[in-house]
Amino acid sequence: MQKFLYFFSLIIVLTACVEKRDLSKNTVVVDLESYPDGLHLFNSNSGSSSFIFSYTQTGLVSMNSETEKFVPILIKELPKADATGLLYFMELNDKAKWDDGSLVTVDDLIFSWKVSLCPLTDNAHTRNFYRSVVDSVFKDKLNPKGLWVKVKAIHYNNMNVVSGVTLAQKNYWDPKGALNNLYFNNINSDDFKTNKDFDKWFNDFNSADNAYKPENLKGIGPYQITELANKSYVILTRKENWWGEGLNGEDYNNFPEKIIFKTTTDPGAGYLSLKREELDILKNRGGVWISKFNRLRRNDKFNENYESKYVGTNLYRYLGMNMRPDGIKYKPFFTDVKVRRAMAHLAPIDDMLEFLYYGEATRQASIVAPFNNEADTTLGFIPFDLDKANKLLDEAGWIDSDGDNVRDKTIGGEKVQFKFKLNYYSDPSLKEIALVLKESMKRAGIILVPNPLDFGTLFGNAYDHKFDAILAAWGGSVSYSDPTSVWGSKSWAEKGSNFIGFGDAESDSLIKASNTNLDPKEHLKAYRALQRKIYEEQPYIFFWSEKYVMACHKRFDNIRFYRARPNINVSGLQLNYK
Amino acid sequence: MISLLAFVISINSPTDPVENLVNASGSEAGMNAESSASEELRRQVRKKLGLDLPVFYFNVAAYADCDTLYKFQEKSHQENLSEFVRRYGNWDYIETYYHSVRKLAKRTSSMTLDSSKMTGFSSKTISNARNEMMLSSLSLLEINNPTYVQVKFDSITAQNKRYPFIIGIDTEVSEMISAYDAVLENKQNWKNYIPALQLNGALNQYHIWLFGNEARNRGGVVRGDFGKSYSDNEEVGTKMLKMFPYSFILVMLSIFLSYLISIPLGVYSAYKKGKLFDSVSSVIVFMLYSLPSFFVATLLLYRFANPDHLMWFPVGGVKDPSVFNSEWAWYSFANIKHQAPYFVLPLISFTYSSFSFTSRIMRGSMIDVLDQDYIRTARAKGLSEKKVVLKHALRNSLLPIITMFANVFPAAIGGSVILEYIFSFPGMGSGILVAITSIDIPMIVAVFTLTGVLTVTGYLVADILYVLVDPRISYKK
Repeated sequence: MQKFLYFFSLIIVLTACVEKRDLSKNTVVVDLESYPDGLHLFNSNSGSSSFIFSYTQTGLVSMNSETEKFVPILIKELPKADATGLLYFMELNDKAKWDDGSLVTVDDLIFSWKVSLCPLTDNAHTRNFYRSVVDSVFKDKLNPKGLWVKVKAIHYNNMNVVSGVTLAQKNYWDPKGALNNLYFNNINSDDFKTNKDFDKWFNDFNSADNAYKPENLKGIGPYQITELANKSYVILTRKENWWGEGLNGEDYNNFPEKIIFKTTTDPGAGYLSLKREELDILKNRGGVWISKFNRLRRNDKFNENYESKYVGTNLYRYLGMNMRPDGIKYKPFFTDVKVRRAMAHLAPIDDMLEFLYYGEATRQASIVAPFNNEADTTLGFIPFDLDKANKLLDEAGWIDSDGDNVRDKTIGGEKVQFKFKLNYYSDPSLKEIALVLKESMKRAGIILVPNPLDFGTLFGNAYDHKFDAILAAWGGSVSYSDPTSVWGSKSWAEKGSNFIGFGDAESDSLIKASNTNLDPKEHLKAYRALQRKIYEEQPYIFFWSEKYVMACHKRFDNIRFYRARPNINVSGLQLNYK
Repeated sequence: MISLLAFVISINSPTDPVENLVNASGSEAGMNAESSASEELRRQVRKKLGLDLPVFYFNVAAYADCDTLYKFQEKSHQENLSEFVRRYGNWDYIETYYHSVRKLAKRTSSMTLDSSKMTGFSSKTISNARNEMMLSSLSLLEINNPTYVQVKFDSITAQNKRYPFIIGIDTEVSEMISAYDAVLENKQNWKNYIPALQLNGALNQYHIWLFGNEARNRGGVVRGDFGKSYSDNEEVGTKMLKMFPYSFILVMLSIFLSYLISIPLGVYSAYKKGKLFDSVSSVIVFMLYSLPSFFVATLLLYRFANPDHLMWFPVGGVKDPSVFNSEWAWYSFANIKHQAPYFVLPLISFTYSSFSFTSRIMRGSMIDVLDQDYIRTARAKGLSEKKVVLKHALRNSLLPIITMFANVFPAAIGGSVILEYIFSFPGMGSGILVAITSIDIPMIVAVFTLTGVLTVTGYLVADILYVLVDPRISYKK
């Protein structure tokens, strides 16, 4: 027995020789929330893959993280619409080159659009969005660097869309010109016609090799993907002689020699990784990470080593109330605006924010985060007010007629108790919110039944309007988000993202005005009027826009955190380690 | 049989994979406000998943059932039509009714309102009326309860009468009501009691899943093609090949460690039966057994991977990308030296609870053997206790331990979900967790199938080992 114990002690001592990370190396290790769904140029669309692409791809335009405005990168100026508002022109600059040294051409752009729009590409999510906007793309007859994009309808976001295409090199991907005979009228047709050549080319193009083999993951950005380790990390290596090197502007920075994106699943392990200085950057973590992060921020050693901050996001959490239930299985609890406002008065949002989020979220009054330039900041927050809620519920006819401490109302001859189900994604942090709301509602004679569901069922029921109330969140970006899908009345009837049945002619006309007014002032006026209308109707109880924890090791200079993606200037970090 | 069971599980998934794939991938918070699934997108995804085909080579159903129900796009419509058939048994009439409702739904979604007849109505009323009409007709595609259907009919008819600006749907409404009346009047419930066999041929979901189909670019499970993962579009086989070695190594090391400690412990406890060592070791191993592994794992991390205490071992993963050299061969000393520390804490967390079970089995088995006559004979011959126990008794008491070995292979496939999550270990456990949370049916089915196959393989290996350990056992007739 003793021999065994000695043997094991020896093994443990031998294995307990962790190689310490060399902090003088110009390598940035970045925490990745989840492993990317592959790194296919066109077909991978998770948040993690987009984050990595921001260093391996360079777009036609880029959003300046500081000003939150678009700036041209591969084109001379931002795309401009002609007098009809349906044709956008852009001209490539003479700087951008592929890895083989050849210049980016208009043919590359047309090829990229063909692949983005073609039904044979495995990019169903983005393709359908692009197809709803872009009609065709063609060369300028006079300018060999000029390109026209024809859109289907005027929209405030068209400029972002026409300049948002992922760029791929035609000569690399299609050297034999297999897609030369693929035309936009066919691509955009409901009756798309394919042939064996197209099928073969797209089968090869969609293959997993183009999502996981580093040598196939070509881009025009400053870094090349050099290693993908199974579900653990992705390594990017700085390119030699990259075309943008030496140019001015944050988009041309490529200071770190290597960027390592590393996945940490457990918050406890992430916490220890930061303490051990194994991570240089922690970004976009919320929920259970907040309490760990707060503990770290009270640690002197951590503050000595890391710059840290909470950064606001455009992701807002809400409780949506079904305004148009079928009345048979789902009762009309929330059809009256008085009830919806009473519900808002019953939500102790400030308390939840303080105790569940440690104060690290920003209250939001309507559909746009308060720090966003387009938000109507004149809208006040609805305070927790039990008396006011009781009064509004009484006025709406919901009273406790039988003394059982639960409000009720006679609807269509039937006595209905105010007892509703709150559907939410089965997650511990959401459960806490649901339980707080349950307690609060109970004080006003309303029974809230928490109903945790899996993701598919939750949103399946929501799209089918089979719910009383839903606790969920919407993500967005710092640029304008088209409200049609979530707030357009037709979207409810067509089972779109307007689950709750909000909308009337007035809101629809405000959405239309907001979308089609290319004049920024007129656009903003309509958009803010829509925000006010939604605030007054209160179809959602708007909780807060969430904040994410961000930290960066101080061995780098030039640390900047942004609200806009990718939230931190990883490629702009300059090593200062001595 | 295993493949069939796995396939049955996959097609009976509680959620609609199409809905999961078209709406979002990843966390709830990641859902974008501007995304909205279109019917066209659903159709494309259905085809890609092979859901536009019949399920099996044949189906035994009721005579009343529709033989091409799988061709309907929406799962909710399929379910509703199925219930309709159970209720009335007359598919021909039900199909006519279904198409009439679809026609009305299509008409209402694109109808133009008569602006000359809008006087006296607020814009809100007009907008509401149009939307209510659209939703009522869409709802009819998903309900079959006569009371509910009647409520929707009344609503549509009432609105059509009340609002003169709604034009051009009279024909569709009356056709729909007539079609429904025909369903009620021509009930053929007897058809539900007559079984019918329907042959679907080889172009079915199961055949393609098992044997593949060139036109659909599928190799089939028999060729190791479990399809593509819903979560990242990677081949499931390739994904598993990347994850399996880590879990397998962890399980093998765990078994080795468990046997290395538990067998001597069990033998010595048996030898010292009823003595202090036996009692104390029992208490200790059962105490360990009672500790949950996630608790121990976290405790180990905070104690041995924490700069505030001891920083002996890494926090997680299986290598440090800033140090690891991808040119190292897997068997090279440099690679083993680099990766070994990453396995220590997961290994301890994975193994300690098995000490009680294995050592107690060994103890019980050894006590039985030590009571045998031939042991008494060996002692009578004057052999030393060490020789009696280790040479004469040990080999015969190992049989129950070999049975346990059969579980090694399925355990490697299953991995340890919680521990791999805590240690960010890229094995099968963490892969399964992601598959379950993202309802990645091909991955779940592949794990299920391989677990079944490897369980059988494990028992086969155990049977062979019996013969090697105990020469008295023979499988010859």
